Amino acid sequence: MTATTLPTPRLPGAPLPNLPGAVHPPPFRLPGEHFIAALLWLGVGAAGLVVVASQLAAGNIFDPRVFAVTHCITLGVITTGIFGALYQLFPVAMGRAVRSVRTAHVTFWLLQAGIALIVAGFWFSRAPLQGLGWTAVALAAGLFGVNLISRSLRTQPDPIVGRYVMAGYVAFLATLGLGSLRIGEVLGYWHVDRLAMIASHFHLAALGFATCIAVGVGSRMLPMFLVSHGFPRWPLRWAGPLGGAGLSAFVLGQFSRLPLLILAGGLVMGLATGLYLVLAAGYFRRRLRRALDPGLAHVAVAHVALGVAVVTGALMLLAPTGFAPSRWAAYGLLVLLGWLVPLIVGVQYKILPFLTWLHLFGQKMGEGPLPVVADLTRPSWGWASLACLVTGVLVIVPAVAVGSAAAVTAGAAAFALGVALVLAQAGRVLSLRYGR
Amino acid sequence: MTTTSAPDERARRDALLRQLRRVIDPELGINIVDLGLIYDLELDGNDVTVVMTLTTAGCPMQAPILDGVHRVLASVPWVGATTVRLVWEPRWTPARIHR
Repeated sequence: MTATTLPTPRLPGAPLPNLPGAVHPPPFRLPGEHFIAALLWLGVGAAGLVVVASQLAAGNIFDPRVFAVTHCITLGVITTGIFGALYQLFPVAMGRAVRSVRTAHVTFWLLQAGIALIVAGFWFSRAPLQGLGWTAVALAAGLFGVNLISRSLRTQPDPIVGRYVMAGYVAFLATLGLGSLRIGEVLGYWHVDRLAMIASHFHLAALGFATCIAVGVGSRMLPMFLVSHGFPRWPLRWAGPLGGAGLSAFVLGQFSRLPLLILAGGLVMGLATGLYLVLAAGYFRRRLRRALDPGLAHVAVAHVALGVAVVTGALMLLAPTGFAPSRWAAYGLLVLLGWLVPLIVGVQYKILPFLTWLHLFGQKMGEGPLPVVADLTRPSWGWASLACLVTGVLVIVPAVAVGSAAAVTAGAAAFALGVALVLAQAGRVLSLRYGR
Repeated sequence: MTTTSAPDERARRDALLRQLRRVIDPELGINIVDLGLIYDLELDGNDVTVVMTLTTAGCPMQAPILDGVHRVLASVPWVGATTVRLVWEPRWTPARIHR
């Protein structure tokens, strides 16, 4: 029996002694600043989506402003959100905390500066700005790796989670590497196959990085939030290796122009994602907490969108139509706006109120009746935001595929309204945190 | 060494568990007793050792829950010293929830 004895008396609120098994969560500010930044980027990205709606409807996937909005979401919302979530969830999922909180703050500001430069570089078509931004993001990624990800190498009690996180991080570095190839091309240093680069860059980011980390960390967090047990865990062992093999083959096939390798790699990626969805369905089916709160409902809806994206991607692979920018854009938006954004929003719905509860009531435990975390939020706002986000995606994706500018704009407006409600909810929670 | 008779000890354990139910997991809204986090209560005279676990190592609720355990047991007049023995085996799973 592994035991940690905490003698009495210990003053309430005093730091925990440095004993085996006692892993210290980071201070509120660290994940908090990431979530606030991710939400601000979400606001910028949602507004940008409305602005570029006509470009999306026209299938102009190479439009620099479309790239700017895409990177608002991929780097601003998803990467920043994942970094913040990992700082908070890593100790819970893997029993290891960040090496240096100060370095983590420096990493945060480097990342934000880099994202701002990349987005501005795209929006104003300034490759040097993109290069500067890429350098800052790469530095941030390096610091993040040393400060936190390297701690996943020997994780207990669930080493498989650490492998997912490490694989996701490697995919993030590969995504950055491909990004640098494109910047170098724009600056005139070399030439790369643009379609191959975009297809690889997108799947490395969305599947290799974001989804891989979501699968690994989610395997510890989702059952905990759902109070779920008794589900089969075998898909977790297979989804990662299969996904990695499929993604590698897909990328190799793209750059070597081997359609069969692209097809095989894509289908294996789809199979791996399908295996993960079997696992996730088990989490939800075997949950003891039957009623979903808005946060978990966002996560559930995100998984449905991932399933639709897998089927869509497989159909696009099996019935290739050559260069089809509208369909590619629709597929990409489904993955980003349907799967990853609601996932990040759902995670944020769980973590931000929880951290606020800890700040407000953590030292009052046992003094008398206390509110629960859900009491700090307005569920009606959460349900409304989910409805708007889902409506937005349901309108945007088909509208982009068929090229209807008016419908894309309407869908983007609904999505932006959902984002505004997400921001209002977060603002309310943060006002409880900072207003006292 | 326990200095009380068995029925009395059971009543004292029940009193301790009633107090421990005032400590909740704020995310789940379930107290730590019904959540299955309390593995044993060891009484040595008036001194109490709480053998318990958490839902996971690195649980951000670790400090508030342990503070809460100390606080609610300190409010029991006959309790002397309180010690919390945090154990990680057997590992907690949701199957331990009883409500």
